[in-house]
Amino acid sequence: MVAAFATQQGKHPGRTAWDLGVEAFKGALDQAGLGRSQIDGLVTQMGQDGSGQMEPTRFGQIIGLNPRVSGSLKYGAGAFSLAYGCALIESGQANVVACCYATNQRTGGYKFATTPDPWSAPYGFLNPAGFAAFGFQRYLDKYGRLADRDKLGAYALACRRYARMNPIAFRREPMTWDDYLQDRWIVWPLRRSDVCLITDGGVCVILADAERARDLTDRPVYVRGFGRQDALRLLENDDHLLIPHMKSAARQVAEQSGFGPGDIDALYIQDAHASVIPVTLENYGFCGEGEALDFIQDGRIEPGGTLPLNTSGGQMSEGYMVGWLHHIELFHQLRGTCGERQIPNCNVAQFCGTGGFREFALSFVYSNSPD
Amino acid sequence: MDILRPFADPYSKPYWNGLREGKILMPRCRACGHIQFPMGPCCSVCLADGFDWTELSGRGSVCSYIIYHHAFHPSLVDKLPYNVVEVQLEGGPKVISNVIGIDHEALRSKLAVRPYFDRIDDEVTLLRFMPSDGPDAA
Repeated sequence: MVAAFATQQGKHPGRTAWDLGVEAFKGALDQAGLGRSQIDGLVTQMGQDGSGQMEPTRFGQIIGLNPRVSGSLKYGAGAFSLAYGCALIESGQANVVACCYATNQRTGGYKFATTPDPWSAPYGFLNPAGFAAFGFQRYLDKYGRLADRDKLGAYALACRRYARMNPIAFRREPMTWDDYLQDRWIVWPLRRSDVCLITDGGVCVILADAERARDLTDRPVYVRGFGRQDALRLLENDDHLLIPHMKSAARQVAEQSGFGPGDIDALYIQDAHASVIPVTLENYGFCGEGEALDFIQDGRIEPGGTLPLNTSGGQMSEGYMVGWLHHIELFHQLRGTCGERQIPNCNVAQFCGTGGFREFALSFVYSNSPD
Repeated sequence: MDILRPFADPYSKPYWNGLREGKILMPRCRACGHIQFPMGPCCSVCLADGFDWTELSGRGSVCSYIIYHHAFHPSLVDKLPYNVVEVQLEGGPKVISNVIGIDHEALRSKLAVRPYFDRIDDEVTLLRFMPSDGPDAA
């Protein structure tokens, strides 16, 4: 990674995804001091609103680019698009790839409940929050922790403490345990504060092969390992609600990077819902099975804690760019430029993501050193 | 299009026809015996393509349960709060559904349930469930 830029998160009335995408693209070029002509690969994530915004051909036309290669994944959230960009570089199809996403989903009023499915929608099982709630209920039940449900609030509160130090975050007002406990249920056992925000905004990450990156910037951030495991059998998989296929991605990324849970200075988890936090911490070996709700208490994941987590405020408080903002943040943490919320001696960061309705699991380990 | 209304495809049509007659019909693979759900052109275990439609008892147990307090569709506003459950069918797959005739506080995993064929109209009957030991249990 040679540049990573995000716009202000929140409401951008009157602006389109295209417009926010251009702002992010220009922001990333400026940050790295790159000229547009140096970009020879373009990856976009199309909006989830069905409008076709950020379709790569049109975006290339808007920014006046004739790259060697351009494209978009069906599921391109954050790290998934970055993995595609890495593959283009590794296979020699491009040298410097701009990966872009933008959306006006908040002011555009996009609703996440429009997929017709005869096996779930007729029963009122709508919105990704339903799957997340199922997963958390299953988790609490399996480990006999139903009475400890509210301990999940430690995550939303940690997010808010980080967001208060992040100028681009959408939700920055103080939040207390009482606020959390009085918050309404969306789908029990998840409260409103356990579900991601919807924000407008744009992001751009520029990737280059390691040698080229050193020519372009004096402080590149290096991909040190990658893991990916999909589970397309869905409900036919045993205990699918606890996302057990994460364990395969965890083994791959640890083996490739040589870094285990004890080596990670900052952790980033793609958090459409807070309920993904416990199972991710456990499946990636940061704590034992059934222990995560205790593990996240007492400031461990907060500013100054021993395992800083989603240090820009996460999707609970910073904004919802489907996993991209985590990469913007870890890039700047590894370069030591996060100001008030900078983690001391931050050299190794890990991203753990899930995608779709949790059928994809993926992880990257990054470092500010190539070896 | 009403996204809450189920639609049949060529693979699932016998299932929806069965529900209208109060039967739970699922395709059993002739080669390996796997009950294929959701239905498709082949068995997802052995890739063989012949099925016999088999009737299940519809008895099962609740794996997981959640309670919706927010309506993600206008027609659900009047139903709040409502439960959604994942049920493991005896001799069959896991399915998403609802348990009727139960207080939400009484929902628990491993709750034994039996089928309730909920006739919506002439075309659509939904498979819902009720507690096996409910007051009007057969």
